[in-house]
Amino acid sequence: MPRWLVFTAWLTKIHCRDGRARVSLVRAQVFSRCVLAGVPIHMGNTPLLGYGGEGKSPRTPSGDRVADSSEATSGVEHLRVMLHAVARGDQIAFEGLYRATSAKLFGVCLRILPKRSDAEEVLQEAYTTIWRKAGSYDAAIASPITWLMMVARNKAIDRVRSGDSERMLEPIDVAGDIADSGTPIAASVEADDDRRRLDRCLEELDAARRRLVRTAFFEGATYEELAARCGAPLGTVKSWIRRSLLKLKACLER
Amino acid sequence: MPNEPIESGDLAGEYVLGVLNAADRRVAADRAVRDFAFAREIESWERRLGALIADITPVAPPAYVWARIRAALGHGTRTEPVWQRIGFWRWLSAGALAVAAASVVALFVGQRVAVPPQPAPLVAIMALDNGAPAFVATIDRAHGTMVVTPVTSWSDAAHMPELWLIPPGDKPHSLGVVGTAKSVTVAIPANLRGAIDPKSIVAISVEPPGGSPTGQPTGPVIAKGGISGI
Repeated sequence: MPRWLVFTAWLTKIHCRDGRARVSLVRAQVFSRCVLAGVPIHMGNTPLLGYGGEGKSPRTPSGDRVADSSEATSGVEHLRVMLHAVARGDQIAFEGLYRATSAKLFGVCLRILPKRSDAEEVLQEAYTTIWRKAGSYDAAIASPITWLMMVARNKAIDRVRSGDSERMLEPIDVAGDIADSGTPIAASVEADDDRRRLDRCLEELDAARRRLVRTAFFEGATYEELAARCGAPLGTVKSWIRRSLLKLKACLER
Repeated sequence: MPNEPIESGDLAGEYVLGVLNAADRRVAADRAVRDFAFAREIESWERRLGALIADITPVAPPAYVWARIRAALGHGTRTEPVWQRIGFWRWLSAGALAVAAASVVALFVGQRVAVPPQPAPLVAIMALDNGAPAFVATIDRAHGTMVVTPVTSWSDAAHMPELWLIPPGDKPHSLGVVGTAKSVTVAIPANLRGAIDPKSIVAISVEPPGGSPTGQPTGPVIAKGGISGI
């Protein structure tokens, strides 16, 4: 059998998972669209290409969550391949990267910048920076989504610190011992090792400090803002956070 | 002694957590540029805290953000299907699919040699009076269609933007009402396709929902621009 025929036969066995159903792909065109749309691709039950961290985990036709860890790995790998291509100036890879990650990064911006138009501008700035600086991404240092998120987060915090955007001013309760608003996802199959370790270490902080750390991280709130929002003296809030950072670092390095 | 104050913290950790005020943040950012070890500490903290991203709820950004990013970077509009472009194959070929990608290229390139050349695509950026772009149109002359993308938010819920083509020395011809949040593809009537050239102007006027009742602009023309090649 000629080699191209073997390959065509191989292609027809590829499935594109869009979260609802498997789409059998019989043509390379559909295959490429599937890749561009950022939909994970499977051959049989083996994930070939996909992306992770989008909160939309693939399901089998019967609705079961796909739980194998190779899935998450292939998602990271997919983003890494796209980022390297973006570093070489590949506009198609850039579009694929945007489609796969922009909702997550927009979520990051919106937590820090409640005004939508500010968040949109910062998201735009973040992706133009990603386009220009993709070459400085080092896979040995951070996962692709962490690097992308930090680009967006830094831009958003810089915008907030420039002083001309609205701020979140909701009070933070540090007296009560109520449960965290954040969803602990340690039990979820999507949680990777890093996440499980971080969750375990955050659990070692008391509930109020954990809440402050989470608020600072998600909203980019300064010491001064945190002090005002929880009604505690600035020096106390600084001590709480600094001590929490020390504990976290020690715990994560154990 | 859990409440004993700590005079100085882990600056890299504080920077990544986002608790520094504008002045301290600038100090930390400047230091990261000069001090390699400090920059590595920041990276370590980013890796430590980065896993929290799983708690962020994804929110799809509006379509015009992508249009703005492309415009800001000066990226061309897409003219041919993705699988015919070498860039797509270049990135796909990385990693495990290198051999596979090469086979498909070989498979399809052979079949597509005889496709006649397409006329070059045209683009029109319709700008507000202050020069800011408001709508971007890409024109596919081969199919007589125009894709109009809003690149700014439309605040007037009671009115709609209507697209006009104004050939040199002629009156405006309506190309229909376009979207305020999403791209819209409009068909260019056959009798106007000849007027799609750099001497014509495209414009957006503010009209009642459903479009101008008279066939000519009834509301103010808020944005206009010429047609040019890419």
